Amino acid sequence: MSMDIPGPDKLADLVSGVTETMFGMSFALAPPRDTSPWNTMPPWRTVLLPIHGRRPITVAIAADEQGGRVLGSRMFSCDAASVDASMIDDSLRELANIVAGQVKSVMGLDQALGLPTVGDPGQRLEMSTWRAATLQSPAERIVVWVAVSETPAT
Amino acid sequence: MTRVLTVDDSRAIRTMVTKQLTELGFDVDEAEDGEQGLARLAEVTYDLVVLDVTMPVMDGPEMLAQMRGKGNKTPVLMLTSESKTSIIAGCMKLGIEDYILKPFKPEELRAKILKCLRMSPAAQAAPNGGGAGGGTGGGVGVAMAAPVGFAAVEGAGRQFIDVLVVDDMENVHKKLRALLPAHVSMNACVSAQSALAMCRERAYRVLLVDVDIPDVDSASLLGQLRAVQPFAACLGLVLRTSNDPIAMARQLGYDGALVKPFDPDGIQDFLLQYFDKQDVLEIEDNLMKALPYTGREDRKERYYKRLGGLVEQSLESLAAACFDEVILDLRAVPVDPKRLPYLIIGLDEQCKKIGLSLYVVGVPELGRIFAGFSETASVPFFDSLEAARAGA
Repeated sequence: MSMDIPGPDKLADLVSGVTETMFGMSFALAPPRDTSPWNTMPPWRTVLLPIHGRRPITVAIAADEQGGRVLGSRMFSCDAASVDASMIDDSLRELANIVAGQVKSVMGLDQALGLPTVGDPGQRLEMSTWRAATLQSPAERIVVWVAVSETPAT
Repeated sequence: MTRVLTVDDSRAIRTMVTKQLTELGFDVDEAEDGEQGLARLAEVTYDLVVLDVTMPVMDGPEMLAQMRGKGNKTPVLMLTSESKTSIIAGCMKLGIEDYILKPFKPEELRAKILKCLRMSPAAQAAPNGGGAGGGTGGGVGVAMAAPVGFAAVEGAGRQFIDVLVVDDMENVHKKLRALLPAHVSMNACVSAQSALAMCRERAYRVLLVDVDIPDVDSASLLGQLRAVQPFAACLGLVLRTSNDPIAMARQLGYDGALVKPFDPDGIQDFLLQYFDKQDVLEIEDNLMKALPYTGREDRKERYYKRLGGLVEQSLESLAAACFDEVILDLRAVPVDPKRLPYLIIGLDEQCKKIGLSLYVVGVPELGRIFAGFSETASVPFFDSLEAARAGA
């Protein structure tokens, strides 16, 4: 039996669970505000990952340059200064992949994960169809954004 | 020196794996997808392949299938965020040592890799080596020998077992073992503690759990077993005295039931459902070929249901693989003027929902039957595979 898309608190838990397990970085829900990444931070990279099947779902992860750089440095175990754009894209794609696996599990979906793709820099998502959460990592002073939509990725 | 190949489209994951293993003094090569992985395997002999599931160009299951198809028996550890049951079950069937679900802790990855390497022939000389054939949770379990073949499979260090039976009556284990074919491997135990220990040691395809073990909370045990065996189907072993054993088992949280005392028909259904997929349907790219029915006349209904269910399940994989059309070859299926139109109507609806076009291949008689229903008349029908492919 499949469940509803997780709310912001649960999304925050899922992302934090992933980053905490893999490289010891935790996230919490950012204070209430507009959850669009375009209003809360300068969007730099957005990764979209479709979960194909009977109930198509799309998972998105976005980060600004600083957030992407810090995530990349943790994923690649290197200095933030040596993280390049391709490493940030790779880190966000992998984070989207793992978070999507968690979302699928929480929603009870026995569907296959698709491949993550990096969106165009100027790409805007139609926010009304997304359930989103803006997350912050106080220790690292970075913000990332996670969202799930019950629509196929475009 | 121990050589490991990590195949993952994520450079970050390859870097993590490489870092962990080079610290252990291993030699690590990297590949970005299955195609590159196969090319590496053609050049170098590895002690272990750490393989991702979802990758562009060629995914992990396809690479694994091609490896095994070529006779390459290098141990494989799957490393994946993918928890779709059929994908993991398919990999288990092709032969993997173990799997890790992401996210994982670096030390967990290291421990799993070491465990896999100890089981591989190349690492048998290592301390604690010698294969994993014995481990049944500190000897608490009762290993059941099959009449033929099972012991040999165990001796080869097989990590995945088809069935675990958890029942406090040892006679139940013996009866079931006698009824299962030799190629279906089986372990058994008499207590909840043993079951949990065994489930931590091995991966099982189906767990058969007595719903009424003395002093055991069945729901709680089931929850714990599911936590350590997320990909196994969990069936309750229920007595025939229940009015509706399957409903009762489902109410308790099980996926289904197997009724005691066992009867051959019940066992046949169980085998059909969990172990004989290949006997009903063959899939190659976007071609689904239904295989001939060879069973008893009075059990044909189940065959049609099984066929319909398998085709429906597989459609999603084809859509996910970006096929636009699916060809269903029904030439070997016994013609049934009622069941087959209903089957096609349901599948056509499902195809439309997920963006696939359904093409059917069948004998002329089936074409005439389909032409008689407005719902099936609109589904493209061909009398040969070549014609269907040309039409697609």
